[in-house]
Amino acid sequence: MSGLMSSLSLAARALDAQRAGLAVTGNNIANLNTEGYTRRSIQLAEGQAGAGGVDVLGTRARRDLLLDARVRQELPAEGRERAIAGALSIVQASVGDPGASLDAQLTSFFDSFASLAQDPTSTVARDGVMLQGRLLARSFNDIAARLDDSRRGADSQIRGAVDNINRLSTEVAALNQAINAANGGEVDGLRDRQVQALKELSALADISVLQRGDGGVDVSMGEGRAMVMGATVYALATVDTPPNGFAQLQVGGVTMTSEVARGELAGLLEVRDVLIPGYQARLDTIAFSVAQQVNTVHQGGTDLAGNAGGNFFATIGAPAGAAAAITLDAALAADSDLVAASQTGAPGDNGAAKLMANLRDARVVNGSATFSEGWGQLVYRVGSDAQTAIAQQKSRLEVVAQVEHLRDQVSGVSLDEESALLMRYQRAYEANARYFSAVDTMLATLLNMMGN
Amino acid sequence: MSGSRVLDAALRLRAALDSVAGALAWPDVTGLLMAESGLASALADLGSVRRVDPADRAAVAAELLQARAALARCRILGASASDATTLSLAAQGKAAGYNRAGATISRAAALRGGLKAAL
Repeated sequence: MSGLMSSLSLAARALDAQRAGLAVTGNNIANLNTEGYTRRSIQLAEGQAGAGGVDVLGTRARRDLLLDARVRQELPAEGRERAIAGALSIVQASVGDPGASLDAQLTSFFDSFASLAQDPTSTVARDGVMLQGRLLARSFNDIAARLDDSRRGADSQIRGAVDNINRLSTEVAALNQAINAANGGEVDGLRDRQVQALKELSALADISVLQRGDGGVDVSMGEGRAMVMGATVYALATVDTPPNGFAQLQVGGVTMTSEVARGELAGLLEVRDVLIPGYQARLDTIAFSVAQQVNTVHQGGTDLAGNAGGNFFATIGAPAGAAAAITLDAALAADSDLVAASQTGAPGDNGAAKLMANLRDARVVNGSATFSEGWGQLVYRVGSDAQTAIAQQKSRLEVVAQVEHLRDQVSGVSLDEESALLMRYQRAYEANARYFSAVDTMLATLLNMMGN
Repeated sequence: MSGSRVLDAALRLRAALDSVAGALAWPDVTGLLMAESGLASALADLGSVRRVDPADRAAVAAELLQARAALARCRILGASASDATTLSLAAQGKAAGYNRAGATISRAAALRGGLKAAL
């Protein structure tokens, strides 16, 4: 009888084990699309001595901490490029297409002087010059304002990213507390949320994660600035800084803006503090050159009353801020007779108007480019920066996806199968990689042969 | 080598590199192994090129530039794949090589055995 009872007991435990296995599998399937969910596997062990059969020890999340860490290494680079690409797409729209934005306005402005040269005393032609001058100044002002708006937009996004970082830091700290309080109990769900929060955090900033003995994590940023230590959060603060009121980042009263090198935050900082100011400086240089060159020629001419020409554009002291400041000279704006078309003052002379029209093709921007070319270079630079960021982001995103695929592919098999698969994968890569240097050299030779 | 054959070889090289990158991006061991022969063949053909027909220059140059971009993609994905694999194997104490029977062996043993283990 005891033999029968023992057999029934064995069978019952085996059924329990299978039922637990099915429940775990069902849970895995149900969470197939749950972001951050890690597949669970059931842990079985031989039954107690003498009892035989099988016992369910519990479930285990098949998590590879090292691959999670590798994903966290790639995400900040991807986040940085994504932020740059996103912000620059707005800047690209602001500057418009070559041939259809400021360069077209520059051409119209200088062409209006060519029209004036044909009839230097014509009031209509004089009004036309002033209209085109006003429109050109307004184009500069509008683009300068749009670039400034883009910079302020990046600043707002920085503040939003800081809020997100603090929210996620708080979540990580709360999870640390909960994992610690579980005291060795079931924490797989908490760990999934922890991994997900760290993943989101690493896309925002270049964080370092240190595993704690109790299963929690400590998180730091920049040059080791603590953000989360156990259950304590050290919030990242934004401090408005003159002259623009842009946010600088502080932790515990220490400014750490320059320490942020990767992640979405770093990309936004680069857009706000490096890229857009660079475009603004180029635009200001063009506007300053236009005002200076046009005023110089205008002052050398004579107006309709025979007086020496004055300023065409209001005086601008320095290149900085020139695009936002450029405007018609107040006196000239009120009287088109003040437009200097003549060089000598003789009736019918159109020397100044012709000189002005010739400025269209003069290489005066930094001594090497026409105004339109200077503008074209700026538009090209914005487009090139945006395309580089998009290509980099795509590449980083692919690496993140690759590591995640690799992790998913090996996480459902035994450790032996997993290592065999990884080794085959690595060997297969090495087989191809040995051709890479030869391909590289050959491509360089062929492209050189064709003059590329 | 005639112009169209150069273009054909350039196309095959780019396709082979794209296959390698694709197989690396979506870890696909079989695809990775199959891409090797295409890579070797395109490389051998292009290696014998001495001149390119002027009519084909633009098309060949465009393919070569795309091949260069695909190569860069392969290198980035390969470096990441190597890191991820090395990390995982190291965590299992198996960051070494394997012998003819498929059993894992230490790096020292792999090197002694003449295998050029790159781990």
